[in-house]
Amino acid sequence: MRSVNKIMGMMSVLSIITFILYLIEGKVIFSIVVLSFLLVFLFGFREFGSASYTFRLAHVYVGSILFTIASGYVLLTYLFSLFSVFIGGEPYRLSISDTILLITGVYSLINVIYLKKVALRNDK
Amino acid sequence: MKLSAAPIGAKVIVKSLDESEISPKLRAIGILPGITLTVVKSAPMGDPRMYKVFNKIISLRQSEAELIEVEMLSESVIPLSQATPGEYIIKEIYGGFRFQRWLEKIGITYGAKISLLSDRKVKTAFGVYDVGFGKLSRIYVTRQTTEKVGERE
Amino acid sequence: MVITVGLLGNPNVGKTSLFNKLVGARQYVANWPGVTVSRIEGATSFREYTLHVVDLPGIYSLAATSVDEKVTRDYLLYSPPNVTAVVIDSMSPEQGIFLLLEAFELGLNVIAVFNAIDEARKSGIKMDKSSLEKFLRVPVVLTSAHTGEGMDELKEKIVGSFKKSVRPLVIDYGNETEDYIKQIEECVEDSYNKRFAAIKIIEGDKFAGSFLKKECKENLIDSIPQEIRTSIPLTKYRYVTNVIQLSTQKNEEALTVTEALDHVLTHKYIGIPIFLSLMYLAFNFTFKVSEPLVGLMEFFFEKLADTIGNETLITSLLSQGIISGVGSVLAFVPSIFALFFALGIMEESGYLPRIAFLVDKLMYSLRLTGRSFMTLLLGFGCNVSTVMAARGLSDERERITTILVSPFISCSARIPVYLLIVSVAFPTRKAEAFFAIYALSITLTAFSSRIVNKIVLKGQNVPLVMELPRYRFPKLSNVFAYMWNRGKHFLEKAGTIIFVASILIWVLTYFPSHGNVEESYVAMFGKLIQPIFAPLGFTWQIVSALIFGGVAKEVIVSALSQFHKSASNISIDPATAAALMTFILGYTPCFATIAAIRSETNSRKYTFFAIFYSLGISYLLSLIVYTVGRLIV
Repeated sequence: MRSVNKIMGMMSVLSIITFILYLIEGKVIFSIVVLSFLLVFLFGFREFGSASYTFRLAHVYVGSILFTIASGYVLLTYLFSLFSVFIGGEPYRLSISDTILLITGVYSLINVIYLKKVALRNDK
Repeated sequence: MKLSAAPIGAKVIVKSLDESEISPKLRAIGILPGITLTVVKSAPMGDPRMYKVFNKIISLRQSEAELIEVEMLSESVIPLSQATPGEYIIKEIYGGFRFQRWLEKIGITYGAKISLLSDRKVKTAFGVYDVGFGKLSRIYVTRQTTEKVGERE
Repeated sequence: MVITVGLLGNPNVGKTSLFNKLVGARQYVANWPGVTVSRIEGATSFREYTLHVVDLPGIYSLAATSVDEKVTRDYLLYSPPNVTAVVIDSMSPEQGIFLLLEAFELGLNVIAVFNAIDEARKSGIKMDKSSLEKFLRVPVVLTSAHTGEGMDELKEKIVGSFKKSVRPLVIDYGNETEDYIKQIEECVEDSYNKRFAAIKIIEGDKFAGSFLKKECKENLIDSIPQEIRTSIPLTKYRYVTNVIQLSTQKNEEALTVTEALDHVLTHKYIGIPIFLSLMYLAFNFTFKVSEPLVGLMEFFFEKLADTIGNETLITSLLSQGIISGVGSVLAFVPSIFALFFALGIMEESGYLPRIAFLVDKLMYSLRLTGRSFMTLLLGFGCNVSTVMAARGLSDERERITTILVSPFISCSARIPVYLLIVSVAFPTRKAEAFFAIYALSITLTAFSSRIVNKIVLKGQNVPLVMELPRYRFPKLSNVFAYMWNRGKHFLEKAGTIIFVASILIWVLTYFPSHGNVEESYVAMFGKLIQPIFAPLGFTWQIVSALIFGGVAKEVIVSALSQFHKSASNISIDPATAAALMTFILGYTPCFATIAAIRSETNSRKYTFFAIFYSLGISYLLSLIVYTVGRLIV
């Protein structure tokens, strides 16, 4: 399925946008985290040879897992910050880059589930 | 050769183990004379490396792998840069269109039979070429087993 | 009727999951006598029986070369359970069946449990149970700890095996080796299973000397030729491969999930950046989660203490002593549990050995292995968690070295103190100061590691030889069990110490002048020993505050404020400040850490070493920093 390349392209675009947004917002360290995850997709384009399909699949699958983790992190940070309301603090505010990340995260999660069912042999 | 020198992807058969503090442990997990191991991959800095023993993946430091004497099995798929002179069949080419095109022109394509000469040059159906180490490490081959009529394996 | 069951097997076969499925919450953790290896036991009822299950340490062989193996072997040898269930991973059964064959030689009552059968099935592996039973000659159960399949049959077969034991098969090692075995049997003390002992001696069991009669000890063990040593495991593995060939079928090779994950996570270029990012997320997360909870508890305790007030002796004891004592313990709890939760996820998912794989080369220069990297990393959260997590290190020498090296890792409790000092002495250079202190922390740890290694290991290296198990989606129940077991241990050991120390400090500050801190015993003591610290530029207030730091480092902040009557009165010059930060970095592990070190190393010698070594190095370094500082400023 050449759809693997399509997904890889889509995720690359989404993640580059997220990365740039975080940089603009000044969250340097987190943007580096996003960068390292996004590199997973970019390096996927470097896979050649007869086994390239399987390796690209690996890049897309793992990269998606990583983005699911990253967006889960942001989501949980927000949820847990709601606790601090009890002591008079303020909950965390979701910025634009956070929102884009969450959207990327949802798309990643869909990919993970889809690819697992369809393409990867279970050794789970 | 020592297990530490076996190329990534090679299937090897263990010949002997140097006796050391870890020998009982190595033997217990199945690294024994006559057993086949596969070199799976290496860590970013080349050390340690992953090996497949039966169905388990075990990581060993190079210093530990050095204690194990092995012989490469002919069915291994290894990079030309790590191969000894001999007859090979091209199995994999890791590179984009331009690289593949360039190799095609000199006769290196999937399934082609080539010879690796002692001066690292490659002899193909089209002639003898100096391919260069970097490119050789992206061409994966397997040993050609010649079947001669009347000879048993 | 009680049946004791021992769960034996390789690491990573799902033994603990199986154990959890069998006994549920009815489990408790203790120590194997004399060693710091965890002994996990539990019980479950089945028909009219009570199954008392012991989860033995995961090992590869009963020819003991490590403490884990020795503990397991001794248990099976000297106090064998009624039934031994050897848990084997259906996806990689060979090494497990090897262990099964070794268990036969001990004369144990054995059943074979092939776990993860659901995964095997999904990946196309077929196991023929009756064929396995025929060739292994013991009851066989196919189970899945994940889905619960086979659990009832497992209990049935345990009971069945208890009622009627089967004679195990005996392996013939060939004439030459059998001759050697007979020879060595002559030298084995009469009270042991001679054949087993002889075989272990030949295989190179490190602790086998105890089996031998005194007369024979000397040259016997060394003179055994290598071919004979090798023939024993080799013969076993030949048998194993035959059994597998006759009883299982597998079809190959699409990309497995583990291969896909490893392709990226141990990738030459992106493996390490991904690792660093995941660590950043994990650590940030544990502290973000624990912060509000800690804040909530501190708020609650403060309110409580204020309500009680501190005019009289009793109320002061209650509010300042006991409540703040409990408060200090509880302040640790969220971060300890959070750290163990994070560690539990990394271990359950199978990522932890990959981390060790990625950083092993780096750790080599510290004379440690990649395995201890994560353990040390936890120290940036809390040193106690490092000491306790060190249990996961199977090599005893590595474990002790890691524990002794941990105090120089700058835990999070030191951060409020650094913040205070930095804002007083060099407010414009916060970032540089923090960077410097963390760089120093890492350098000192690396340096200490070499020194401790010379002492504990005499300069030798710890070998790696580590299995990389399949990845699996972390099962929350297992992670919670893991987290709870370790966290509880902390509460018991360190919690009591912190509590007692808090009260003690309260006593020393309250007397003799009823709450006037400047004239308390602590202040007196501080003034007394201040001259020792004069070359470092420390005032008596600083010295006294440092004493408080023994309980918990963050207490230094409130202590300093109290001694100066208020935080705004504190002023420290840059040279002293730098020396102070250096001193605080390592002067003594907090009491909780000391207690943990004492209990995990089981040795007063090492504990004293940890304390005085830290003290000595910190004093020297601070002296240098102060002297140099004075020259520059």
